[in-house]
Amino acid sequence: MKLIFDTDMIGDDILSLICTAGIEDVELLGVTCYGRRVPPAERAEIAAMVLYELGNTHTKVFSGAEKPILREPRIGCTGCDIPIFKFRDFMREKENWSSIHLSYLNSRTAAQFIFETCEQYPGEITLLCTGPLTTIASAILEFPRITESIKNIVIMGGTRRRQGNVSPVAESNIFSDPEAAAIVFSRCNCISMVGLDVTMKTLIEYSDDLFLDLAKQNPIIHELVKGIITSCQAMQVQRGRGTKMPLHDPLALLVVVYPELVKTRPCKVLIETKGEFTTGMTVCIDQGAEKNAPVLVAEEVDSEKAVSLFLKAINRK
Amino acid sequence: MRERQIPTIIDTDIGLGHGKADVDDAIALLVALASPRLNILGITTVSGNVRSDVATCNLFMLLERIKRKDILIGYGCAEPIGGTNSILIKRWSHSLTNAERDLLREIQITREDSVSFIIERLLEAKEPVYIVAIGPLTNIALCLTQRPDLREKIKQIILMGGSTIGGKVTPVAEFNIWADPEAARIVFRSGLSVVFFPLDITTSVPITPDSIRKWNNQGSEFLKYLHKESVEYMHFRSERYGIREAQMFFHDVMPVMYIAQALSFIFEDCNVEVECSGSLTRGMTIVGRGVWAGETPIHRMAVNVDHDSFLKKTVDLITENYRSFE
Repeated sequence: MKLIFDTDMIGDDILSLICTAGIEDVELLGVTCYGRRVPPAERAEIAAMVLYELGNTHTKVFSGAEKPILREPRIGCTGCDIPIFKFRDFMREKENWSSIHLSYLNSRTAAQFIFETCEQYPGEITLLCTGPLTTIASAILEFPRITESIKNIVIMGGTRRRQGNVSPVAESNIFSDPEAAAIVFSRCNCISMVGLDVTMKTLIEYSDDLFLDLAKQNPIIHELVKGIITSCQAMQVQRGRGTKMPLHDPLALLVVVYPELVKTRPCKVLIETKGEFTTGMTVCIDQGAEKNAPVLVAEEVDSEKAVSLFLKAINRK
Repeated sequence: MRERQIPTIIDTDIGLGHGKADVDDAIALLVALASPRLNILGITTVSGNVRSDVATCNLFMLLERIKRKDILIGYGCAEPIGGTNSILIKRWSHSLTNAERDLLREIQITREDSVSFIIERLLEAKEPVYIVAIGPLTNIALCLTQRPDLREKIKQIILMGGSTIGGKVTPVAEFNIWADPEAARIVFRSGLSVVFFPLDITTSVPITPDSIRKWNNQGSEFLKYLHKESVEYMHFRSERYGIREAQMFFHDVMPVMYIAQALSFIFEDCNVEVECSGSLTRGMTIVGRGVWAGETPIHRMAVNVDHDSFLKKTVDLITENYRSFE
């Protein structure tokens, strides 16, 4: 299946990107990057570096939106940046990187690329969104026709019943740019919402045994993966949220390929943008057995199977 | 030796007597009035399920019917702090009969309004008082704003309200809080500890016609009347919400069973904010639990109860104490 990956390229986004190389069914056409904490071009550079290390030479990489549509950018959790920037600095020092990475980075805007690709393959493109929805919202505003040619959008974001991770009721990606989320959720009627209700149940704890194949195939990527998971685990401990890392974004990727991993509830989803305590909340309105509900909200997950599929993909087995 | 009684004021938006209004306030009051543990200093009315004048008449008639005219009552408030809206106005469309209008006029001459009433009771109380609020929080909030010094005369506020699982009046809000969010915010931010029973727990025990069948065969006209009103309300609900089975919930009965009958509940410490802005979420309770509870959570949310025991004790208590009434 043809996939465009819209991401802020922080911790678990990178795990998802690495997994795309280990799932045969996925044809990754492009990666569009939101600029969290660093300019989007730098996040795009990191994506290009990962793809290069994975031996992927066909996927195009774009820098997307730099900050939310209306609001000031949020810093967010910086826990995973250390291993990621270490990887970036290492790659930058690697011979010839600057000439290689030019072949990945693209001068068109991310929104343009998404639109053109959807026009080229009408009804075939899946958008996987694991960051703030700013770039997608911009694409929709710039090219409204896009909503007719997209096949579906799988969003890691929001929460229905579970407590949020940036407020008691809001999840980070939606909270980071609620106006963008409101645009996406109100214009598109083919969304799968993979929110905290399921991602917080899909957990991993790092151990060398789990990543033996990856370590053998690609020590550099293995080092990056290990760094991301262990620093994320440390953040969880610090926040009193247990010792394991939730696989938010990898689960969203897996749902693209294996939708049967989650049980969904047909809903209409509205985004609160004006609340004093509720901004960024995904208000899910049950649509009963409605076949044409605009959003399928994941509410249960076979987490054991999800974790094993994640390990299979990342180890390229 | 007799156990020391708990001084209590109950604030209600009782709908019994005006069809299609929830009868759980009435059941809750009946439980309280039959509980020797409570020293009921008075019952006050507020607009919510029905307008406060209607609630006042309902309360008066109920007390008369069970021969408890010794209970002091206060009337009002009519309007929520944050103003009314079209849904409330529609709910409040009951009109009073001439007899009710006369009754109300008399009550308004001889009794105090709810806010003054509560303030008076607190002023004369020798020990801190429990306030049980089973309607919107307008009266309680106005007491707290007018006489913040009386906070120390309030031992605890026990209320039915809020939800973390959405609601019927909006997808995210429960009625009592939604009907006057500004009042709810004042109460939750007053510094007083609030023990609250949200929809999460009150809807965990569905009441069906079968649950209260007993009331129909005690030879008591009063219990038959309660049964009939409850069953009618269940059918009305199932039609309105498209639910297959006729059922209702004893929302307001839970806080009363807790304080008046010492029924055991499991609580979770938390903090609570009430959304008063919000284009979709006005009236929502934002409950911070676990990692979001903060350093010093002062409120307590009821999260669990033995369902069978709650149901059986409530139904039996009503049966035993009111079977002699006509």
